[in-house]
Amino acid sequence: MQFIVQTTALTKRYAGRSVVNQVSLSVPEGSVYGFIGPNGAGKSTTMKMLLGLVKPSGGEILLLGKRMEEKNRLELLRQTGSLVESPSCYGHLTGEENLQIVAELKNVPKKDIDRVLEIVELTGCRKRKVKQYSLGMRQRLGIAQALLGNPKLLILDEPTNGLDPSGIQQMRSLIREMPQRCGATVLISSHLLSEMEQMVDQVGIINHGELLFQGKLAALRQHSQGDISLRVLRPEKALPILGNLAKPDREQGTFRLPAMREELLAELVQRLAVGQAGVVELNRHTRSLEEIFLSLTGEEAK
Amino acid sequence: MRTLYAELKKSRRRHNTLVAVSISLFVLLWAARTGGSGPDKLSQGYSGLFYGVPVMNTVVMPLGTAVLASRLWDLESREKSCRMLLTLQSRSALFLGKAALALLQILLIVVIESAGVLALGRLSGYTEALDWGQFRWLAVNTFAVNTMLFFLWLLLSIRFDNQVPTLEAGMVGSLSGLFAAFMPPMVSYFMPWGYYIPLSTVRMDWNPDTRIIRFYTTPYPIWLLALTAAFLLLFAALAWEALKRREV
Repeated sequence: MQFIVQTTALTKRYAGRSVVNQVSLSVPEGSVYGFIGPNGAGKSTTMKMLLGLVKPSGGEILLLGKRMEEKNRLELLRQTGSLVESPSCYGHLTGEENLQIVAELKNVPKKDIDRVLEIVELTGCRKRKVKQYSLGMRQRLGIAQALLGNPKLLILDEPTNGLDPSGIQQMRSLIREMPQRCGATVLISSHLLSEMEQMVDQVGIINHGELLFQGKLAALRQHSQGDISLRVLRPEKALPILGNLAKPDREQGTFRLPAMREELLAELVQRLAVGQAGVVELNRHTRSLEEIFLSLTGEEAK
Repeated sequence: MRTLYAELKKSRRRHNTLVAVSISLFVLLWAARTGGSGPDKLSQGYSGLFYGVPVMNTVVMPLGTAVLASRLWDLESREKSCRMLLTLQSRSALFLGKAALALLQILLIVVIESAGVLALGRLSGYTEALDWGQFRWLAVNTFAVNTMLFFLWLLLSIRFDNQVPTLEAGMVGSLSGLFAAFMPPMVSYFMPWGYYIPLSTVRMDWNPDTRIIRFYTTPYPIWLLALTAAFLLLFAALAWEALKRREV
């Protein structure tokens, strides 16, 4: 698998305190990678380091297969589009004029402006001053700025912040289409896993500056297999079979079993049946992704 | 050139050129108004302007250049655009772009002032011969002090996101520079924002009994121009350092 972004032990310390600690990200090419963590987890600092806006205290960054250094930073970023925290648009200029400035600095032909305006559906408002734009339109203009020059990588830091539900929906579908429509890999951060769930295929979960999980969304779902609840008619017959495996629940005849492979569970049920324990109910408690995220980040309601 | 083009594009509808034109015309008209009248004025017309323009520059330019510098930086701090810009250009390119645009605006001020001196002489029918040396010296001084002040105010603008301190400093500079003109020369050397007057080589002698004004010239204070250039480089270096250290 080719990685478009790879960091090794990326670290940022402010006054001796680690804000980002030994983070090793691997963003596969062509994916939409969700970088998730609560507020203050270190997402924005990591993204700023990837863009060379903040100097790392340690570690290494490989962007588009090349080690990022001060001397090649702008060359690498020319193939990268970014939107960090909030769109940087000049309110007194029109949407088109804002894009002309970015196109000039990126050395991109002016005709590319029409293409990106079409992608973000702002063609009709191109001549309107940005101060008259809604927040959603500003965010889309920010994405258009990032898309100028057909970048291979898009780095978007909380692009749905402050948007209303319809704005979030528009932004979500826009981002989801990026790999197919523009051939760009997307690295997107958010503090809401539920929001990311619908548009990403890879996730990295960060908290207190440390990467807690990284992989496919499907792999994260495997963490969702929780405890199993078992109810039998004759607990006295079930107990010798279950042994130390199960803990009796408060309710009469109910036991709580730990998560286990399906083959093991089937075998256990068969033994209970042979032992005439009278199995009447078997429930697997499935945790939502949000619960997994909260348990990983230690933010579960106590 | 790319970065200057971007700065020019950004300054669209910001009326910076109008600000530059307005402050230079204001200086000219004020200096012309205070130059006296009658035959004396015509025979010493240019000297009157070479004396009056630096005095008016001292009152107007510290605040005027503060307005230009703060408008130039306010654009970036208000829109928080540095984050985006620094992914497209280096900090040095951003700094040089701002400096180049400011130099063009300052040049415009100097050109308007210089052209205004010539136009006033022609239109008013001055009988005094134009001293081209004094003319060039005034243009060079105005350009040097304005540029020095621009970098000083740019330094403040970068350090404080709020532009009020820069404008307040410009206002204080205007008042204290003029105040220094009436103090012993040594005092004015400690106030770079008022250097327009000590750099001027035209002095005035006013006889209260006869109420006659006589202008005379002194040697060019080259050392003070060199000191202005040194301050200019120092403030430019400090402004660049502030931009280099700025967190985005």
